[in-house]
Amino acid sequence: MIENLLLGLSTAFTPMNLLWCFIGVLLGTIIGLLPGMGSSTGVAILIPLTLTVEPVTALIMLAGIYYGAQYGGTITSVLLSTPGEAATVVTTLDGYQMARRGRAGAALAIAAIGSFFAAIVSLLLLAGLAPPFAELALRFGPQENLAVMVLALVTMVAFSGQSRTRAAAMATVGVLLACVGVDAGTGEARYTFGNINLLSGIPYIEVVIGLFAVGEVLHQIRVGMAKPIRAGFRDLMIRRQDVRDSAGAIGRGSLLGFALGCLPGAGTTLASFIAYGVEKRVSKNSKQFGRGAIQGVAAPESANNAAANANFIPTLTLGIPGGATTAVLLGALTVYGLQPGPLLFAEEPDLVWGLLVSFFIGNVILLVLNLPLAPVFAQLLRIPYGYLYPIILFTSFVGAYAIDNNFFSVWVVFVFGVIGYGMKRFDLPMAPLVVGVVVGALFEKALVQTSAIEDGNLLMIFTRPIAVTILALAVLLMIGPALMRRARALLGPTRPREDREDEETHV
Amino acid sequence: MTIQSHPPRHAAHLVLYGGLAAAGLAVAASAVGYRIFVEESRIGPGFLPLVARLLLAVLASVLLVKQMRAPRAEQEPSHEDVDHTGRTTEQRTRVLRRVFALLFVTLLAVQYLGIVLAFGLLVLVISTWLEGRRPLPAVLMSATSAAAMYVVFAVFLRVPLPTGVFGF
Repeated sequence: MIENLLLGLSTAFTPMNLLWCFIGVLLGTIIGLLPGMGSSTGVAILIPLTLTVEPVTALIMLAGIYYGAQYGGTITSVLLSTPGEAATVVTTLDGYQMARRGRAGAALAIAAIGSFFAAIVSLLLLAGLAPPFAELALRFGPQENLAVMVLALVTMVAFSGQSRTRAAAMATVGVLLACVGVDAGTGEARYTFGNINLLSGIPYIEVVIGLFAVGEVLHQIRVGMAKPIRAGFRDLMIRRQDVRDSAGAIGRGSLLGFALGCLPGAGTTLASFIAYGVEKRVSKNSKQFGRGAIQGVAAPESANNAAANANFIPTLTLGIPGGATTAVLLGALTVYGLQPGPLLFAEEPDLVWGLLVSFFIGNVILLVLNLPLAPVFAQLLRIPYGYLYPIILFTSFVGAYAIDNNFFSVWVVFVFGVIGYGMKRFDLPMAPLVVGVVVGALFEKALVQTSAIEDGNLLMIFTRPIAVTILALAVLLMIGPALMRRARALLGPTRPREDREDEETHV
Repeated sequence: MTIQSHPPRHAAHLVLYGGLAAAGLAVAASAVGYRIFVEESRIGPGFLPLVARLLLAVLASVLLVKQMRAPRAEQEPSHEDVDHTGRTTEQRTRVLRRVFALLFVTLLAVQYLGIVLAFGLLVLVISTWLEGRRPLPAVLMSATSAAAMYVVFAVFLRVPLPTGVFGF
């Protein structure tokens, strides 16, 4: 392990590789700031720029774009409730609330610190556990994937407090939206109404931009625009207590993100949602979640960074992309004449370890760039909302167009902007709907594959130990809190119901 | 002072949940048309839509019953319902309706004006007409934002943005 890390350090620490790493991180941050321009699009667009350099240098730059974009997405999620990246959607829930309370700088700083810590943890885990994790990932068949998807949906619903029924309804609506398009099993078109744009399904990035960015703008106009935040520079800085309060969340988020990132297809978005849900359950500060809890920013930000790094395990060792961006990077590997798979670690150790060590370097650059800049970014909130919202609308719609160069995306954003506004008016939680849309297609694919493997008998899933363990966890999440309340009620006097309701928040 | 929105009316919630329940049940029938099972009892394309719609119908019914049982919230008088910009609820609602309409018109205008110019004009109209900015700063802001969008997306990222009669 030590030799591998030293080899990686010697490869990554050349002036050329450091420069390209810096360029990648910087470009990634800028790309992440633009709604719709996710890391996968950014990497795909910039591949041609890397064709003249060494493969390892090119990969270091492209990987820099990957995690740089996630941090860029965090900035707009926190300051404007406009996620630049799907993986930072969940950050809007508490990050934006922190910003409205004059703590935007702390939210951005803890996101950078959490991401940095997650990078170190995931680098060490990657170095030590890549081969066994790849082996474990190979044992994940459709049945286990199905169980993971169930867990993702249950997690989001279970952590929605008093609004569980509404959260479940919204998650179901999300799954239904994911059913639009060509069926994974038979290739049959469903609910497309003859529109060819719907054959590939309702695009979830556009859904996210519509619900969160446009929906929030319309909501702000209706309720009275948010006041400019005139917090002092000191308030915008992160405090030592903030770091102490977030330490557990960062640790848990990093480990959870890494574990989920190792699974092919699970992706960083799912990791961030599950980490948020788990943190809401275990955190001492759980009643503040949805109202500006710093742990609600630290956990998902650490998770999405750890997952982004761990995504390289299935990509490099199995040749199976961990998510959308690693799928594009997989394509880039073949462009450079490299063959991803189990032999890559043995045949190209300098490339693999140089790339893995560059994650650490890239995150150091991100931290150095963004920690002092966090309060500066936060100054954006001093601008009156009346100036900001036309620009947010402009960026959101042009960004949506840029995803597929298709004007249909722009209409999707408009429609979901109106839906998002309606959901806010009726106090319906958006996060479960987004999880439903993201997970829905993967869920159905796993369902169809499981059905095919088990000859239509879905109950055979209970013969798979890993799947059973994951499903048991899901059941525990659903009924655990109720059982605990019962147990507490039997053991001692309970607090009045109104008190408990005060503690619940909607996400 | 930023004002919290009024809780949506009881009746509106009833209509929403009732509509969701009815739509769930009614459209569940359409899922059957996509085949629930295919050969060898395997799951067909209609399976997940059917299950999800039935589940939605059940959940919406639960919400509907809860809403019917919930006590009606007293509507508080809204004499202080003015935000920090001095707008009343009525004025804000009017602005919202205009933003909706302007957005819709902008999207229709993109094919004639191109996306950059259409949204640049949207920024200008919102700034002057709805937000009451003076013409010169509003023109500067919309021109700067349009130029920035063009440089970032069309020049830097090489996205072929829709152009209009003016060619940009």
